[in-house]
Amino acid sequence: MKRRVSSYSFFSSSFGRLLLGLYSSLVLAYLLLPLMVIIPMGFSSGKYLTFPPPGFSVQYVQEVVHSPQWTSAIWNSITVGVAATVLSTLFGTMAAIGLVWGRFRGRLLLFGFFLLPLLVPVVVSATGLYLLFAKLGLLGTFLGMVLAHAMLGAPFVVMVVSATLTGYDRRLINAAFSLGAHPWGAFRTVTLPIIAPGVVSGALLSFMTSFDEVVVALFLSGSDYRTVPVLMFQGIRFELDPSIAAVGTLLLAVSLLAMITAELLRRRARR
Amino acid sequence: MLAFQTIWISENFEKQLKDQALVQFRGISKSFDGAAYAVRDLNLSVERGEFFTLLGPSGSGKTTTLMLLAGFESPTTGEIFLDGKNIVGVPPYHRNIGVVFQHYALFPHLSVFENIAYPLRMRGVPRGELSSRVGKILEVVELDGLESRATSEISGGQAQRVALARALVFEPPVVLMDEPLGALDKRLRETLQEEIRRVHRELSTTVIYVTHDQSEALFLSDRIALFREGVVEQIDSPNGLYCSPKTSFAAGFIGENNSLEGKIVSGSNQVVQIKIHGSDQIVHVPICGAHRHGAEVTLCIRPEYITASPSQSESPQAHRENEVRGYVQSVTFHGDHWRYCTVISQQENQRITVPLREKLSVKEGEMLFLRWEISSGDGFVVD
Ligand SMILES: Nc1ncnc2c1ncn2[C@@H]1O[C@H](COP(=O)(O)OP(=O)(O)OP(=O)(O)O)[C@@H](O)[C@H]1O
Ligand SMILES: [Mg+2]
Repeated sequence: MKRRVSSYSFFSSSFGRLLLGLYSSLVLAYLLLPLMVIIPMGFSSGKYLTFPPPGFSVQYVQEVVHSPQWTSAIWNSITVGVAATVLSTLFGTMAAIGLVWGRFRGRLLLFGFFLLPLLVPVVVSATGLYLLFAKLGLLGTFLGMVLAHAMLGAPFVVMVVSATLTGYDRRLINAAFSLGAHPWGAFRTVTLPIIAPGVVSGALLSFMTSFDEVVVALFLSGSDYRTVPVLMFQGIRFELDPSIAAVGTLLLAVSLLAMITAELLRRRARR
Repeated sequence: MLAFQTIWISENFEKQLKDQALVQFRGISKSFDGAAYAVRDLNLSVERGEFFTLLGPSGSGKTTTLMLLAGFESPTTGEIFLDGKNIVGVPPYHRNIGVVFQHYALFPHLSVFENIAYPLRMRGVPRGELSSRVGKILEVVELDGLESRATSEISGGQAQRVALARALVFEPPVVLMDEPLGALDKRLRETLQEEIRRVHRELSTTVIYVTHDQSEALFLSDRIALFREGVVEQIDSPNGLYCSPKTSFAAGFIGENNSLEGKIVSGSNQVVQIKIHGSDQIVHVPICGAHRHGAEVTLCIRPEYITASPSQSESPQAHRENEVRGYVQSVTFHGDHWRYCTVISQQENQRITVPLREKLSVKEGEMLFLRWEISSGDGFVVD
């Protein structure tokens, strides 16, 4: 049962409520501002990237879809994102299991170590990776980009999966063993289905990290391996037409979809 | 001729197998930290079809013993035999032992049916046989109709039945249960005790059961091993444990018991006279084991063996009965009986139970005479 606490305050008066409503709307509007700019411009009919757009059309969305530059960038973003997600989810989940179930000294220290990529400023990581990859010849390659993004995404997987594992009753594994399940079988039929929501939402976060990552991608893109955010960043300085906004709207749609999925899974897991 | 020989040999072999205990612990010790022992020098054997209970207070090593047998822990020293084979070092999934855990440990992502089918799936049982075996065991535990429920949609008692069915469905030679009823309320516990007893009889499986509830142990078991601080104090039938405890710990743990401290003043081998500390009252006490004059003795006597009256006995039978003076500390009502708490020779909390109709006409602080047959007491030398 919820208890409702009611007390008189300034915000209960009608004038106060009006003020509060106004203030809240302003904050919300401010938060939504970038979206309110980008989305209409993506459907602009004008020649230049100006706000407000002179009229609406889908011509730039079409243009993006037909431009080889954009399509290759979209392809790069998706393949890098998927590959980095697979890597970070696989190794992040394994790390989380070791960190949560392991009984060894320095467990917490190691846990912090795994979250390091979140704490280190991205430019620092990017510079380090740039120097290293230049030596290894990985600049401007698919592999280089995947390795870098997997590193950035792994901490999310480690965090989400270890949170899920903490609530997992380990006697279930013993129960599975006693019923004749081998270690791998027990993992596949008991542990994995139970922690699956955590693994999936970790994977989504990891994909999102890669998909809109711009700093590291800029450093590592070399001469011609561009992901969507890199192309947008470079494009906004030279060609000021609304196709950038159209791509932005596309990115937004993908992000939103991923976030909603992650949240739904998280809710299901909590039940 | 050859056929006859083969039959004879196999019969002989089977007989040998039957004679051999199903589970044997030989010199098992377990230490988690290398210093303290959770279980020390454990020797016990469980027969085929037996209902064997490990009973003891919290932390006495019952769960540890069970986990050693299930294979979740490995012994520091000693050997464990199942069906004549040493199973130390065999991983739990190769032991083929059913385990019922205290908090059920049902798989939350699987339905009731799938939970019970799990061990069969792990053994690659074909589909048709699988559903008929699950159906059969559901009938035994009286859960038919619930197979498609999620484990979150059943009650605690039903969850316990599912756990039981899951541990039985693959027909393991022995089923281990660690306080399976510990989380349930009293009424449900009693129902499920009956249930477990019935299922054990019906399937004639071997059960090793852990509890710290002595009445549960007395009700269910063929034999009970009483644990104390990692050591087995006594292994006996419920009746043996109740009526002839071998130590004062056993006497105090099983059923209700009063204990009076005293000192041996004289006596023969089997019955000695002890002077109760705090006064000059002398009682006769049967005693087992070595003892000497002047030794400290604990006298255990159950409340229901004591009769009491406000006046001294008119025809004392000193060779058969003891009679001591006590003072009433409190009188309490317990539905079907009265309970008198008395002080005997400054030793408090000596209880007597009296049937409802035979309430004594004494009040708190008044004197009471307590009598019991010499043979119903038990003396233990204090070491
Ligand atoms: N995993 C472990 N690590 C260290 N010590 C342990 C472990 N498991 C048990 N012990 C210790 O071993 C002793 C026996 O514990 P055990 O769990 O066997 O007792 P129990 O008889 O089952 O008690 P309860 O009735 O409370 O369940 C205890 O002193 C306990 O602290
Ligand atoms: Mg226990």
